[in-house]
Amino acid sequence: MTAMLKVEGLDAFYGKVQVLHGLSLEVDRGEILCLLGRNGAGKTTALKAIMGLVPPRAGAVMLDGVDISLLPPEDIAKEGIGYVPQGRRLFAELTVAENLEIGLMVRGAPRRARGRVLERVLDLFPVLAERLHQRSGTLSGGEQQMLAIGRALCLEPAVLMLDEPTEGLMPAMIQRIREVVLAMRAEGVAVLLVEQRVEAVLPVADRVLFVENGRSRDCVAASDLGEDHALLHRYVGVGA
Amino acid sequence: MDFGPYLLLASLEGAVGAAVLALTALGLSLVFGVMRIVNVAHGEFYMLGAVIAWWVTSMVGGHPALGFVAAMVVSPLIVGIAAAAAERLVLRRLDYDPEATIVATIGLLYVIQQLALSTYGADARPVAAPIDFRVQFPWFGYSGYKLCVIGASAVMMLAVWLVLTHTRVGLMMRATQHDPETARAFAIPVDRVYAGVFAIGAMLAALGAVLIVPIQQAHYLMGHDPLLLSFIVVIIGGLGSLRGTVLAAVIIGMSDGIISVFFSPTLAKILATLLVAFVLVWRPAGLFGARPA
Repeated sequence: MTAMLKVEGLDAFYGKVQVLHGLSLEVDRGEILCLLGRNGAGKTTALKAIMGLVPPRAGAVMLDGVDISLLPPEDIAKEGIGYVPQGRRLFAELTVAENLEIGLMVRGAPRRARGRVLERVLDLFPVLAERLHQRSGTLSGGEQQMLAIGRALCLEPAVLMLDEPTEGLMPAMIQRIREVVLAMRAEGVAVLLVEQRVEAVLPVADRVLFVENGRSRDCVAASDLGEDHALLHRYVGVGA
Repeated sequence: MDFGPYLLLASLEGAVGAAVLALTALGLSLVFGVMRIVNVAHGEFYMLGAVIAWWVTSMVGGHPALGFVAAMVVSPLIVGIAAAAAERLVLRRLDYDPEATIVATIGLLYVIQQLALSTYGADARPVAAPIDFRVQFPWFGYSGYKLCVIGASAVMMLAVWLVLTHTRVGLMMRATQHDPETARAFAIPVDRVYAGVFAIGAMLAALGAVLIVPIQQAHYLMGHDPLLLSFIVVIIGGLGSLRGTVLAAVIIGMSDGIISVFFSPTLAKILATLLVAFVLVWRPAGLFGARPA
């Protein structure tokens, strides 16, 4: 069986500056792969390149065996990739319901099916159900993050990509988001998680891929990482 | 005539001007809000709308209403197609760069204007009003058509508001306005939204022009004042705020009408421009614009 998401030899540029140098990764169904690396290593760019927001100049992005790297960016989400950008990037002036509606519109499912999906997302984040008609910019940080994840789940993704979802949140919120990510894994979603902090990664990740200077380096099982401090020290600079 | 009735007459004239201005400025505001583009050619789309309205009504015979209704449909349609083509051929290739698009739309202004001059000519030509009745006040009679213009403009603005707030297309437009990159990541075809918004903006100007052309004649230079006043309205109302745009259009249109009747049109423009200066000094984001955080 091929991996749900397989990225091979991705090159990406901001203007003339090359940010990704042949980055490769693989995520399976029901697996959480975490990209770990220093600030500016290219983790966020990797996610943007997969979404087509930073068009890759070389390499392939295979989603369930089909190359999606040549699709226009607005068609990539339709293939089933839910994206939770760094800093949440909600449509702040729009209400909670409208933000979720934008996620629901992606797949163009019939009205009844959309109602069912929305119900499921609101079950995961009951606090959003109470605030459907509130402007999303007025939510608390944790609620905004829940909405950003909820919006991505509204398109019933086969692959879920989260960029530093726990940044700046309270421990209780971090716990809740962790639970949702684990629930998605249990449903067979391939999860690609970007983090900077090791302690946020180890409890959820199955495998960890270290990213350095836009290149993918060592890839190890998260369970092995507890003993192997050398890798952490080299790529993230913590002696933990 | 006593002062009271005179004021009523001036207010009615102001309201007609405000109604058409609101429609035209709404188009400019929409384009600026969603695309962050200053469309200097907006007034020429207005002029194009009026000229095409004259052309359509002169082709269609029979009752004036027949030709007018045809113009209401055909004129915005042609202007919308022309605007979408300009968006595709010019603005998109400039990658919607704020400065480059200003220069490009200045060029577009002259292209449209000179095309109108060389095909339509330098004459001002009238269009017959579709309805011909007078509303008789105790002091004076007033054109029924002008009152209909106010109503038609209000209906069209309501329609724009409903589309923006209650339809999927409107949701896509608002999402694109706030964050085009994230909108793209959620399968919103931002390129098509831009082309559509630019076309709709021009069509609103054309609709305003079709409404005004039975009152003012169609002329190839008629786009200047609406452009200036639309900019004033958009700046006072707050960039990207539709509510502010409509309210500012009412303020500017009414005062323009009243001051023009009592004093002179020139004084009206001077005061409006002065008001912009004061708004920019004390509320740079406009009356309803979001303040930068």
